[in-house]
Amino acid sequence: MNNHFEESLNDDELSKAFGVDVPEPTDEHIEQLRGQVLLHTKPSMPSRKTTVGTGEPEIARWGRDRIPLSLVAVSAVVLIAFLVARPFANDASAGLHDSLKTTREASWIHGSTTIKHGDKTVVAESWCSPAERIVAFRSPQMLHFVDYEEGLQLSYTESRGKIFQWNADPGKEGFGRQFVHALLNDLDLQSSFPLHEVSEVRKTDVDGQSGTQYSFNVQMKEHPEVRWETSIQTDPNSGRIVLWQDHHANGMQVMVKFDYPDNGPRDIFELGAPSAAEVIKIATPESNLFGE
Amino acid sequence: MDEFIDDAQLLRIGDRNAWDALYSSTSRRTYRVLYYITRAKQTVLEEMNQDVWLSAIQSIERFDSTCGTAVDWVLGIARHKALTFLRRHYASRVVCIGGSGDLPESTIHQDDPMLVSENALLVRASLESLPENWQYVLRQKYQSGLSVREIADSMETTPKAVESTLSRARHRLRKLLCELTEE
Repeated sequence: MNNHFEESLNDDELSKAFGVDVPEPTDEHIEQLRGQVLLHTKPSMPSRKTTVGTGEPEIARWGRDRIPLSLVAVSAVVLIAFLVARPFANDASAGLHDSLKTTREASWIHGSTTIKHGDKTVVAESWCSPAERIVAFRSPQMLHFVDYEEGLQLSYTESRGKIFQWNADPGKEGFGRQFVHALLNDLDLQSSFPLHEVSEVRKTDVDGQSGTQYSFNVQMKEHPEVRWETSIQTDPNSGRIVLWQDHHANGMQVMVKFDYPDNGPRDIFELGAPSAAEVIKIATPESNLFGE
Repeated sequence: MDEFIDDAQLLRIGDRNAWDALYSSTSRRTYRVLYYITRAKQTVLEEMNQDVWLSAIQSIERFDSTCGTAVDWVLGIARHKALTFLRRHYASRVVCIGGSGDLPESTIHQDDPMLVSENALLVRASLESLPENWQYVLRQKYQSGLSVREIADSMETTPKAVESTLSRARHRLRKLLCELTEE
């Protein structure tokens, strides 16, 4: 490549550059990739303002109106894992701690998630094995499997027909950040929600003797309108979590019903990906990527 | 500025709205930058674009908000990926030509008219990496042929402000082009 631009960049070159045809990505590609990107994020409230996407507020509003799916679906499962390890300050917290500890001792935790927001309803499934350090997620749109022990994660969408594989680093942001932290750190509830205020845990009986419900509130410090209440119902006999619900201030409701199978998916193929699907490995960047 | 720093923090903790807004505003731009530099086929571009965004998520801890915006940072990743692709592409072709095997299927778009010069594509890749308001001013000047005063009138600003923007945009453009052509 030449390097004449250092000395000059003339008007004609600029004019020609604007005349180059612009290839646009397909909407299908943009939406599929959006799903994969958001799979690595944590739910936040639609009303929160952000300036990250500068200059295109209408698109940002569109993004905020979407139902958060992936991590919401799995978060209730994986939150169990990190909440187990935290110290508890009051009796209600101690009771929740005991239930969570019992829950975590299960070999596999399976959650059936229903998300309702306005007239939209989304369903998904997730699995978690704290002992084996595996998290799996299945929705009508995609499959995602993370094995933190092996340090890899895989994602499959039917429309692409390919499996993408890349690293899963327990020390960094990944699929279920809080799950990762729970495995590596002895976190309390407050530490599990950075930049949020978390209330004391409350305890109430449900239907007389049929179970106990624990609840607490979470509110974003910088944006107090971003808040939700989490309620967790336990089984009176086993002590395990049977129901986890998040009621968000914007009207979104997330309900996860739990059961405890003997086994869970141990790779993305057991999750439903076709065995013939091509696996494409994505390299992790090594050099300084900032464009300056 | 404080709000911007908040957004950088939100990206680091994986806040969904922050990432969704960044993705919505920039995902098509990263795709275009990849094309302008590599001229690869659609399927290759889609895989590279995916690589760009997954890399952004994996390396968000490296994002330094004092060096630029998150949009600049992701576009920088796209340029890096595109140049890496080009290096690998040309390296693989040299190896195969020297051997006895068939050439690999080209991943470079074969239908592009050769009338489009390499320089124009590199300039366009760099233009795509500029802030959108800077692109707008350059487009009015060099594509629409408006005078500085006409641009100022259309933007309800002063000619001096337009000249300042043009000067900064051209300076940044030259810098980006030098980075690309040094590879």
